[in-house]
Amino acid sequence: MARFFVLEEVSYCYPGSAKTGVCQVNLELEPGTFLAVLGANGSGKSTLARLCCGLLKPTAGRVLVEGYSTANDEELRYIYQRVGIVFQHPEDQFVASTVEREVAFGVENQNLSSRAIRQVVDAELARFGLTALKTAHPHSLSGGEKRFLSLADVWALQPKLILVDEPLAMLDPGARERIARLLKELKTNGQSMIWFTHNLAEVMAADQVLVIAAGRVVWRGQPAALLAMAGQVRAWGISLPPATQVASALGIDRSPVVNVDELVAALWK
Amino acid sequence: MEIKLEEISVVYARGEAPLKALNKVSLTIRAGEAVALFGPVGSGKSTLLQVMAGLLKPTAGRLSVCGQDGPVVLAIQEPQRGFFAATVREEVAFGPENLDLDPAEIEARGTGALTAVGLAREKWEAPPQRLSGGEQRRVALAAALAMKPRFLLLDEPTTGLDGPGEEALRQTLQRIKTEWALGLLVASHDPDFLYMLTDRVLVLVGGELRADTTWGAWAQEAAAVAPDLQIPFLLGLLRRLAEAGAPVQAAPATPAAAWEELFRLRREREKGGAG
Repeated sequence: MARFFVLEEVSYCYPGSAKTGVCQVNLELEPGTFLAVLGANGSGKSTLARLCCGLLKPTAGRVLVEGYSTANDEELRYIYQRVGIVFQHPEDQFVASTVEREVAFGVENQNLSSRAIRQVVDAELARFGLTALKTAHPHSLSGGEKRFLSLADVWALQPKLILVDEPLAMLDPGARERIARLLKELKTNGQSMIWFTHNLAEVMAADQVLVIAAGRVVWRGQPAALLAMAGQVRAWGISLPPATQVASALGIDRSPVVNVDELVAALWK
Repeated sequence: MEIKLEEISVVYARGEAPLKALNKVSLTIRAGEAVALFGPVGSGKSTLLQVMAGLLKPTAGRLSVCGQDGPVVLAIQEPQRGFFAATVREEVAFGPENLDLDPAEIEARGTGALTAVGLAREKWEAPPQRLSGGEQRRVALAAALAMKPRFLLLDEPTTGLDGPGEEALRQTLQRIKTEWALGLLVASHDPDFLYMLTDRVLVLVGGELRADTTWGAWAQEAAAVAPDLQIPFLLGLLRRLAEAGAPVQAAPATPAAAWEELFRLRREREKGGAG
């Protein structure tokens, strides 16, 4: 059986622009895994996300999803069924004029009965707390509600791989926790996720981390290992958890500090 | 000069769920103050800023801007969606041009504003759409400054910025606050960014003003008033240390004083450890 998700020496150069694309990225993902791609703004994260789902085609190398290549137009529809992307700016993906039409839009292309479509849409609206807003216009929602809607859009399609690009950027702690919980559910469902962010604290639960700088992969490993290399991580433009930042500023370097409990222990207990 | 809100309410009619975005909010902000507007997503922060900037008529209540000697300007939140000029310079000149100023004054304001936000000079003739997200924020900020505001209102200015981008923006705003002698009102759900920049905090939850106080006092009362809201990390840490019996002041007046408490504790512990 073809491997689930593979990037082979993937490069992308923006036509006629000096803007950094991505350069010779190799990657393989097992089903049910959570990969974090960390990098500063402008490091190539969003370009890589668009390459992973076939919205951009590599200028060199291959992106393969269960053996289907994004370079091949006839194979793209198989890829769209398997890989869903949640964009950094939710408005970028809205197409319909009400919240429920918006969630139904993708589902309607899946050969389901109208009753089944209704069920999927209602379930996703409930999951993301949008039921009371189902007749509202997507653009009339608050920032956090737009984020929930953009997630519901992709969730409804049950892709095997979900790509999320800075999904917590506009959310407060309550909404962040809710989304973190929902994203954990994905994994227990056997779905996979690639989470693109500049903030290490968001992805401490990742199975694997890939750091990207100026379009190139500069580091791979476990998230916890990054805590012990604060200076380097900052130089890559990646935000450390606040406890790690304060520990580093206070010169506490005995053991990695991730949360406030560890910091209190290092300072006082 | 001051902006005064008396019992301001705003109701949005949308779908089957009309939203009470603001409920009888009363407050006063004076020129020269740096104020945080803090609260969860959907708490009414953006609505409050729009009312203050005169862009949204409240459903009920009174807004008065007293002793007006300069405009109240809301910097646009998602600059990439609002840009329309061919170059950064033209984008920044657009506001002053509509004030019927003479060309030399427009030019001077543009130069002053772009310098203040620290946008590299070689970008001034570039199309704003081609700049990075962080640079676009600077252009939007410059466009607001070119209006010579007495009050500058910012809505979630750190959204989409990475760590270094956020730190650079904070330093820029700190400089602007001092050098331009303007009132600053910054809405955000990020207490750490706000704490470093502002002295006073307005806490908005579900459209209601729950607190109007200092950060130190807010850290003390947050658990009782709005347990779901984070407090600035440094203040939370000092509080935890104090609860654990460490000899620290739990609610210092400024971020600098908070850091001093932590460094002092660390020095004392190290001395103790060596002895």
